[in-house]
Amino acid sequence: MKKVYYVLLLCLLPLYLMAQQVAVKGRVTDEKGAPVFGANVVLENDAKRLGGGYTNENGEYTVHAGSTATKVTVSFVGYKAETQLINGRSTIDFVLQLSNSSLNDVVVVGYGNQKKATVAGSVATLSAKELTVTKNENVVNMLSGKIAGVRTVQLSAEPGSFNTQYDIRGMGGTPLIIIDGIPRSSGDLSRMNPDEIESLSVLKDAAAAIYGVKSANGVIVVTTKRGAKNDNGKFNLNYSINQSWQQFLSVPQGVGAVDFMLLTNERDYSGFNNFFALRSPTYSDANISEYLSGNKQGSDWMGAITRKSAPQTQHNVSLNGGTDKVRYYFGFGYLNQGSIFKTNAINYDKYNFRSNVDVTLTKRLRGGVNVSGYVDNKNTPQGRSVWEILKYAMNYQPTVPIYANNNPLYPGVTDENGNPVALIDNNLVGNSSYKNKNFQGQAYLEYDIPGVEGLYARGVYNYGMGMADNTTGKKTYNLYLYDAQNDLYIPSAVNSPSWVNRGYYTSTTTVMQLSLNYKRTFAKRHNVNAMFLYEENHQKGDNFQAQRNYSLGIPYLFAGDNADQRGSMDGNGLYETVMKSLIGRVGYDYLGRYILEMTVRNDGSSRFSPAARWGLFPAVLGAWRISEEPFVQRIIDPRILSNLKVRGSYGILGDDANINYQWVAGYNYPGQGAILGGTYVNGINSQGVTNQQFTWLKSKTFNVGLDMDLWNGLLSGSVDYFVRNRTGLPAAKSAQVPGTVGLPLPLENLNSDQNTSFEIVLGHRSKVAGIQYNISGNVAFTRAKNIYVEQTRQGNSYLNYKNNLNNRIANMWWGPLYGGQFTSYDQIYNYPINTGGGNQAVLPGDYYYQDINEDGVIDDKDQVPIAIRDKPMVNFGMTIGASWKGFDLNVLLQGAANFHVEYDEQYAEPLMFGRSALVQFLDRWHPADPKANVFDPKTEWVAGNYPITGRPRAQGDKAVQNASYLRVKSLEIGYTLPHQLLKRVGVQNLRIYGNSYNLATITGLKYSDPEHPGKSGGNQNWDYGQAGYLYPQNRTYSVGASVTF
Amino acid sequence: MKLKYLVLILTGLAFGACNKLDVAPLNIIKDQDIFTSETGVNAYLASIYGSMPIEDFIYRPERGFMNGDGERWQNFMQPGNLTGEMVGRYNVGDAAQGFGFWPYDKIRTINYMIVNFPKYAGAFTQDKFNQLLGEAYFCRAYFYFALVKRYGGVPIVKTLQSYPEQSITDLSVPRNKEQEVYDFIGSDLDSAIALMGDANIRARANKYVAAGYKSRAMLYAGTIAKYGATNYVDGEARQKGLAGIPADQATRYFQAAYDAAKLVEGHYSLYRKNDNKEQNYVDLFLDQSSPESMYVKDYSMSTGTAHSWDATMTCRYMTADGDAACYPTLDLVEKFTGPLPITNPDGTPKRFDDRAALKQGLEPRLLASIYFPGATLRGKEFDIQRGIYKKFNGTAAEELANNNTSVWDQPDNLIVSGDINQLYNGRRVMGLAGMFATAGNDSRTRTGFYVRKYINYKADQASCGLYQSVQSWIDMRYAEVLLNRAEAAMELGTADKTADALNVINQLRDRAGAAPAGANITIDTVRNERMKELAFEHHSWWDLRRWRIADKVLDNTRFYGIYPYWIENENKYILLKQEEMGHRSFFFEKKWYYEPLPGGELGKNPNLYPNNPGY
Repeated sequence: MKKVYYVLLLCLLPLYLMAQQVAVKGRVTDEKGAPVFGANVVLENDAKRLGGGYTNENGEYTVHAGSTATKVTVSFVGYKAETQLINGRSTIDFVLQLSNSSLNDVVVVGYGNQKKATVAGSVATLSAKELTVTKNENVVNMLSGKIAGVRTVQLSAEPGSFNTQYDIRGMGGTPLIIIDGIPRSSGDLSRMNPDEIESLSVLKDAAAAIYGVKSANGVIVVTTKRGAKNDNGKFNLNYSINQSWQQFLSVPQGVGAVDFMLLTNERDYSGFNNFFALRSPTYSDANISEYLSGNKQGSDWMGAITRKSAPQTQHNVSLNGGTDKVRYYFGFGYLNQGSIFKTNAINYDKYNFRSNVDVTLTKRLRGGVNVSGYVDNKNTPQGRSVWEILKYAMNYQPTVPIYANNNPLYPGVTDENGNPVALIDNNLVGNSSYKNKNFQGQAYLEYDIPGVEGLYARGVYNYGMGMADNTTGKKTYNLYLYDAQNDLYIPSAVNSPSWVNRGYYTSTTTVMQLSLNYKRTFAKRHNVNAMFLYEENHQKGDNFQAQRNYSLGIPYLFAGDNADQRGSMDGNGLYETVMKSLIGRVGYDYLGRYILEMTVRNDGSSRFSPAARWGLFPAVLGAWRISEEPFVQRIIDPRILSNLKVRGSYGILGDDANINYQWVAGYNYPGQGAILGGTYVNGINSQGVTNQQFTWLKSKTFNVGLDMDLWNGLLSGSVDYFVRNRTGLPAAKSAQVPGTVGLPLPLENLNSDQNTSFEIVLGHRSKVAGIQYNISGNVAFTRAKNIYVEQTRQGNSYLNYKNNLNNRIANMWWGPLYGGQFTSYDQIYNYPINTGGGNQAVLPGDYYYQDINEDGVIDDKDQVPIAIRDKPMVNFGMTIGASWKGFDLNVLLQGAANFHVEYDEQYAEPLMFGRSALVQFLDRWHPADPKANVFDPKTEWVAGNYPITGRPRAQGDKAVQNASYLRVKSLEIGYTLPHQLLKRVGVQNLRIYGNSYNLATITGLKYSDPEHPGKSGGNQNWDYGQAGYLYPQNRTYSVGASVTF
Repeated sequence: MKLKYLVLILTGLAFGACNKLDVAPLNIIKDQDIFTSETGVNAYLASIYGSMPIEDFIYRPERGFMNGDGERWQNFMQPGNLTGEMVGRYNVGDAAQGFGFWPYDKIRTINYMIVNFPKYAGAFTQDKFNQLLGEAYFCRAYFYFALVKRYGGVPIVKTLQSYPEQSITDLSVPRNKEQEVYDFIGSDLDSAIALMGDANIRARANKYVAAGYKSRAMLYAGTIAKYGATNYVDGEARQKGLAGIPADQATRYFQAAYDAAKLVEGHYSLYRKNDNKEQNYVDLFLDQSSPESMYVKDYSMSTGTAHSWDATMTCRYMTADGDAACYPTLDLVEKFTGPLPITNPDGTPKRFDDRAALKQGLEPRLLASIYFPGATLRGKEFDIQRGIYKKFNGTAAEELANNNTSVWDQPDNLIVSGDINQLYNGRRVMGLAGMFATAGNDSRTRTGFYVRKYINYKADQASCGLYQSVQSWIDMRYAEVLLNRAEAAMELGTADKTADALNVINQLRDRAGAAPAGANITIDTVRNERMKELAFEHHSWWDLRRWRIADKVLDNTRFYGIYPYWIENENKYILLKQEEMGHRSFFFEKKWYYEPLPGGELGKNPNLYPNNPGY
């Protein structure tokens, strides 16, 4: 390296020789007066940078330069660069101010934290403030758009369902969630009170390897708030309230009665029954005119059950303070969320509490206790699932009466007993309540070991338990049929028998961590830290449930009938697993310039056989802060380039994919049995072949990245490229072993795949006319590829071309390519390609597809890859923040591209299941005269978007919709009242705000929310939104206030 | 002092460190626990019995045995819907394309018992051991029969193959000949007959149950040998004997079927508990203690195995839920009655004061199998009416031409509606129980009939919802054994056998309340009796196939119903014979006599080729 300097110095030599030798010396300290070691000092004149040096351990420097030097600039990482004119002085002292650059932020990484400037992995962090500008009931939704590479798809806003799929860098699986050092479930993260979160870090590359066997999909590390020492032992009491109103997006509209009848008749006509006869239409003129004349009213099913908005409320109280000896944080939160249904049939309550106490026991001994938990309760009607209620509301015919004889006392009999007005009445159909209770208790002690400076021991013990306590109950109720001839309401009891089911699931997790930690700086240059940790994790789960019918109207088990009572448990909910881990980390950096970190973890898991039990997960991370190099600082002014860092990481991570016991031989009991001799006998199922070698899949990740800050935050950015190769994905050989063997085959570590991702983050912050503002944007591109998939040999080369998955982009979506819509009979008659049935039944407006293989027929062989299904491949977000005097504004934009979906069922075709249609299907090809013979070439047509009713739904790239979107995910405007005003009433701080979630969406996708479409493609029909019937997305408007006493 | 704290930390927290990594799974048990006790063997057998390919209420020809499937309530997607015995709103599809049925995992489970159970014979008395082992043979035969009747020849696997010890090449076994499979079934059933006793335990096999199934399997083999020899699709699989049995084997199989059926005689009998022949025939399917039931499958609410027959075979008006979507055809009714007396000799429709009058004089077995207009269930009348004629002057045939065109062009004198609340001069246009379909989604009949067989008339309406029916499926009843015997006898054709067939047929007819057959019976008499006696019991599809007549019976065939109308000016009913409302055309491709082997299995094992002809 030194040679480089010499070469550079040689270049500068002519200048140097011309100049008169001057020397400037001085001392550099920080705000607290402590010497700053290693700061860069540069002499310069107006045009050129002339020479420089570094401060020593005492903050002292001496620099030499030509007489033309007029200024001295001192820069140091994390501080504002400062310039002083020499003005003939020979001693110039500097006091550096901390810059507001994020480089000073402390970032939580695995089992510890680091300054952002010296982080070598790809780690992104959100502060509490950044998190809570999105107001939502689900912490996961609050991440949306804020972190490059974290992609979220919120499938539904159903209260208490927390139905958001998310992953990191398109890696597919849910990341490991760590809350205050303890592995927790995704549901626990969703249910956290955002008010108690101090920060949230996402470990996206080999930085996650320190979490070993659970780390392959990345790790989200959440840290909660802790008490801070307050002057003279005072405490802060904070109260905040958020009151929201939810509106519902993409609630579809059904057609009215007359349109429904016309569409139905149209479908009858367009049905190609025989060559000669038109099918008889279902509805006569007389039927239709009854609705036209207003004699009869059509039913608005969706209108009958939904309301325009539903309330949502959050309260938080927190207390925070402390002394030298004791510091504490106490938080309590309450959430209540109502639903779209007029009866508020679904509603959700949640209580969170947390108490974090830190105690300094002696000079060397510290400790603390964290206690936290939540209790929630979701009520839903027990008649049918929510998507069914909405499906019926979407597709019931408007000609079917909601109430018998339109009398609201008598809900009418409908197909499948799905009358939505009854189904949303919990008093009628029965109420189910799902309660979760979670408790975490944690204690830790830290002891500074005497004799070795910087060495301390730490022990943590955490006991966590979760309970799901569910009461589901079904009630018999009456629907009514009106007998007009005799003016009778004929009751029909449905939803029988009435029963009550109590289910109780418990799980306990204990985690113990013992560690030795060492952190020391040698010679003020060599920063060394090391950690050695032993961890044990023990999880247990158990459950039971009991059910009884009841005839007496008392919905409790004790009052139930003896006949048909049942008690059982869920075998999957009975488990016990133990993990033991040894974890080591060594970090070294030289002046924060060259950074090297190595971690290794050895995990043993009871899920695997003794032969394949232990796995080693090493990782190495390195970074070079180029901007700290003198030669760079000489070329580029540190005030321009305040930070330039390249980093790289490589690691091996694991994933046990939650697969249990491939190595134990025996029988599973109970299995599916049979009623033999009048009583049920449980069956018993062989486990089949065991696999002693089965172990976790291995995930090798590689990441390179570059971070840059220019003009002291005016522009900052980072770029990351990431590759993950996974091998040993579990699969059974059953795709190749003939079925006649009949053996249940165990999982083996057979398949492999690859994920790549590329991320860019750009930020800008400045102050213009008293307005402080910042903008930051991120975009992530991901791609998933199968490398090897265990599969059955294909029957021929075409099928192999189409179905072979090896070395292919994953989730390929195949279909025919859209050609167009026929616009005239002539076009149909002259069309050379047989679209099926010799084109005899084809009508103007029908879709046609391209004959890719030019064989004159449209069939499966014309299918080509048309899109990539499943979650979006490109995700982006942008945050805009501004503040002026007491006002603040925050806008979050979020979106996705290369995202494809397909409509299903009611969204894909009108009159599905012979029921009604959504309004969009009125825009269709149809004859000008509704009674005209559609097969008569003289018939006059009106063009439209869809083909005539009754035609097949769109396929291929006509059906696959581009669901790329950009949302205003959240918008918040706040005002903080002036302090002087508040002081008089004893209030420290008071902020009021208005906020909106999902305020606006720009998308090309019609009729549906992009995150809430029918299906995600291929055979995965129901992955997204249950064919669009899932509880809709919401938009919320909130007002709130937060006050600190 | 300071060390004290360190020790405190380490010991204080180390109490958690006693966890071991060798945590055994909590729900796994071992071999010897099973085969040494009767409870264990019963559990083992329960897992086999519980997954037997029984074509019960919930079976669907294109989806299979829907145990545990969320759509198993759709009883109307059943084989009767393929043959014109019934027609429905929904097309079951090209039913003969199969559903990838390949139950060798269960066959292995049985083979494992046949191989290993004898090691533990000492734990049982000889009789008990034989009985249990015999059941295993019975179950294996049952599985192979389900395979052979679909695919023809399949690989016979009776040993325990192992993987990964054996290579995939070694494990790629070829198909056996169809004849070999039938012989293997025959020999397994012979073992079962020899080993098992005669104790009759519900839902389990005994000696005579095995004999009953042998009569069925051998009859299938015989008819396939005889009729498949002349009506077939040629191909390599046929030439190799994989699909098809040489004609000269027919007699051997018929004799075996006859002998097996004879063996059952005296051990089971026709149900005759009630003197009212109609009620007797109804109860036969509901009485748990019927001496006619040989092998049944039971259901219960508490095990979540209940089915939905009640909710899906009659209309919503009679039940608490459900979706009746397939209905008996007039064509089936006419197998019992010949043309129904609904038309006068001059071609005008006969006038009825009451629709129920049509039932007068019909065979009790027919009325017990099918609900006619005007019949009652749960105190409610099957109020079936298609519409109202203001007046009706012409013949049935003339009127039909008008009526069948279009609602828009309906004759002025006819009123129809899809709305049960629509009145005409104060009188309901459509009956509460049909018949009209509003836009394809209606639980009301489209033929004028509903299925009565197996309907639990004793259940109250509120408990006739989906997954609430627990009446047993009778997979083998003595009547079928008698029919097997009669058919085999007729096929054997000797005088004494023909006499025996006549005797058997008349036992059934007597029980049915039908007129006895004369001495000049033919094979068609026997087949027709079979179609009537076993209607809706999922036999007709297989019978049409093994007789190799499906391609002729279902040759773009359409089926009929009867449509009741009320004539306003006469205050009478008429019943018109009209094509069923779906206007569906039924057909059968000849290659469907065999189903294609599962594609995935062909991919894994090329030795399974050739596939059946035509695929």
